[in-house]
Amino acid sequence: MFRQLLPNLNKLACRSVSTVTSTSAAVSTLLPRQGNLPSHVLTTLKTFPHLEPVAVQPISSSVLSLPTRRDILWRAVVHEADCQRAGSSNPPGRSQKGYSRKKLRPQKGTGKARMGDRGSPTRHDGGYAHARNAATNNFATDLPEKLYAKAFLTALSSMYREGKLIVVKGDSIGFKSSHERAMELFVKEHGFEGLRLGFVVADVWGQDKENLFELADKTKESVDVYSADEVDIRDILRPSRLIIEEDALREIVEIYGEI
Amino acid sequence: MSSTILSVKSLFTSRVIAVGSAFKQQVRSVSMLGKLSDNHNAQTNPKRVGRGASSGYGKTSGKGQKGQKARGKSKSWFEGGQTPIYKLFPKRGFKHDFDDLESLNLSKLQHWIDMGRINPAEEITMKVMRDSGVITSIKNGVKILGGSADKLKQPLTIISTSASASAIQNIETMGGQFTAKYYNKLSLFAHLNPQRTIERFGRIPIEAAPIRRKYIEFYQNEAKRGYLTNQPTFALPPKVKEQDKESDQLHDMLKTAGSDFKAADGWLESTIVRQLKA
Repeated sequence: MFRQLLPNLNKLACRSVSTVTSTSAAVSTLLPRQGNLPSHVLTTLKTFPHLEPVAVQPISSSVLSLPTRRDILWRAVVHEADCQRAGSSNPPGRSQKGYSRKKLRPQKGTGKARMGDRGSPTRHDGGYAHARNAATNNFATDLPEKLYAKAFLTALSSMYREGKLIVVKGDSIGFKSSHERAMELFVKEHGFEGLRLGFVVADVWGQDKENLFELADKTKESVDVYSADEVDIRDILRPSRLIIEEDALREIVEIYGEI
Repeated sequence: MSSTILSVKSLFTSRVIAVGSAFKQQVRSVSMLGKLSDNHNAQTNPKRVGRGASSGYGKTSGKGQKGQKARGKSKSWFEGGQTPIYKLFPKRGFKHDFDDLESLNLSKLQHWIDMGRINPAEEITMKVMRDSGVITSIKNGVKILGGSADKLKQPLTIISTSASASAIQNIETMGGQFTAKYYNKLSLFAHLNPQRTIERFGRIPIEAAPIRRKYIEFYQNEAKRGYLTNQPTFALPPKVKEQDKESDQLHDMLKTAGSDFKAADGWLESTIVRQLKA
C-alpha cells in the first residue's frame, strides 16, 4: 500500500512527462489551460543528529499536502481531549445516604407540607438528584474514523507547510551517548533553544532510543518523545519542531493513509 | 567523564552545518492548537429552558399557558378528537420503479434534419436533441422510437439512453449507428449543461457507470446496442435460482435420513418429510 504513496522517482518523472489521458472532451474545450495539482511533494530526508539532507523522497500529497482545515482539526482535537478527560465526581444518591426509607410524616392532616423520606433531594442533607455514582466519569465523544484520519494527515500537512516538520531518514533518531549535554548540544547546534521539540519514533525499543528517552526526561528544554502508534494530533501540533522518522511516517500512513 | 563529553561533542564537530540551511531561516511561530475552531454555526447548542426570564425560555419553558401540552405529553399526530389528516387523506398506491424516458420518433428527427436544425453528419447526442429543440426538456434520458422506416433518408450516428428494436433496425438499414449509453442524474446534467456544471462544481464529474443489475444487464446487451457489450469488468455474478435456495441443509439432512426418519408413536409425521418421501 505504502509503495503506491511513495513511488520511485524515475516512475514519477515518467508520469509527469506523459500527457494526462481520459479528460472528457467538454472539459478540454471549456478549460483548455486547466492544470493538474501535484500528486506528490518532494520531501527532504535528513540525517540524525546532524539534520543534513541526504535524500529526496516523494510523498503523496494526500499525506503532506492536504489543505489546512481548521474545523476538522478542531473536531479531532476536542475529541481527543474529551476521550482523555476523566472526572472523579461521585456524589451519593438518595439510596446511598444511609437514611431510613420511611415517610417522615403522614401525607395529609398535619397542616404542614407534603414530605417524603429523609434522603429526598429537596432536603438540606438529602442525596443528590440524578447522582452519577460511577467515578471515573466518562466524557468520551465519538468521531468518525475517516474524519479523524483526515485530521491526522491534515495536522502533519500543516506542520510540513510551516516548515516545522523534519523527516529523518530511516529510523535513525537516537543518541549514542546518555550524557545530559548531548541533548543540549543538539538543541544549541540547530538553534532550537526555547522551542518545544517533539520526536516521533517508529520503534521505542530500537537502537539508541533508550538514551533518547533518558535525555528527553533529563533536559531542561521541553522535549517530548512519542511512538508512531501512540502519537496523537495534539502531540503533532503542539511542538515548534516535530522531528519524525521516515519509518514512523510510514507507520502513520499505514494506520491513517487509506481509511 | 571528560572522554564522554568529547565523544558527545565529536557528534557535531566533525561536520559543519551549511550556511543558510533551512533551520537557520526558520521562524518561531505559535502553535496552531489555540487557533482552531469549528466552522461558524456548525454546531447548535441545546435549548436551555427554565433558566430565568432573560433567556426567553424562563417561566413556562416555551410551553405556553395551561393545557395538556403545557403539563405533560400528547401524541404529535393527535388532533384533539378531530378526524386526523392521515385518515382524511390516506396514502394510496405506489411509485413505479423505472425511469420515464422522453420518446423521440425517427420521423420527427428526420423532419428536424430536413429543416436544417440538426446536422446529420454530426453525432446526434441528447445534448444536440435538446439544443436543437427537437426535445425541449430531458429529465431522465431519451428513447428513440422507430416510426415509419421509409422516412429516414440518410445514415445517422445516434447516442441516447435506449432505442426500440424497430428504431435500431431503421437506423442500421440506412447504414447508421446507434449506441445506448447509461447516464445517471448527475452525468446527464453534466452532459446537457457542461457550462453550468463547471460553474456549480468547478469540474466535469467522471461519467457514472451503472451499478444496478438491471442497468448493467441492459447496457451489456448487444441487441439493445449497449455501450458495455463485451466488457469483462462489468461481469455480474450469476443469479441465485429459486431451486437452489430450497435445497438447504435441513432438506439435505432429511433426504439422507431416508426411511429411518420416522415420527415418534402418537405424533404426526412432519410435512417436510412427507413431501420428501412422496
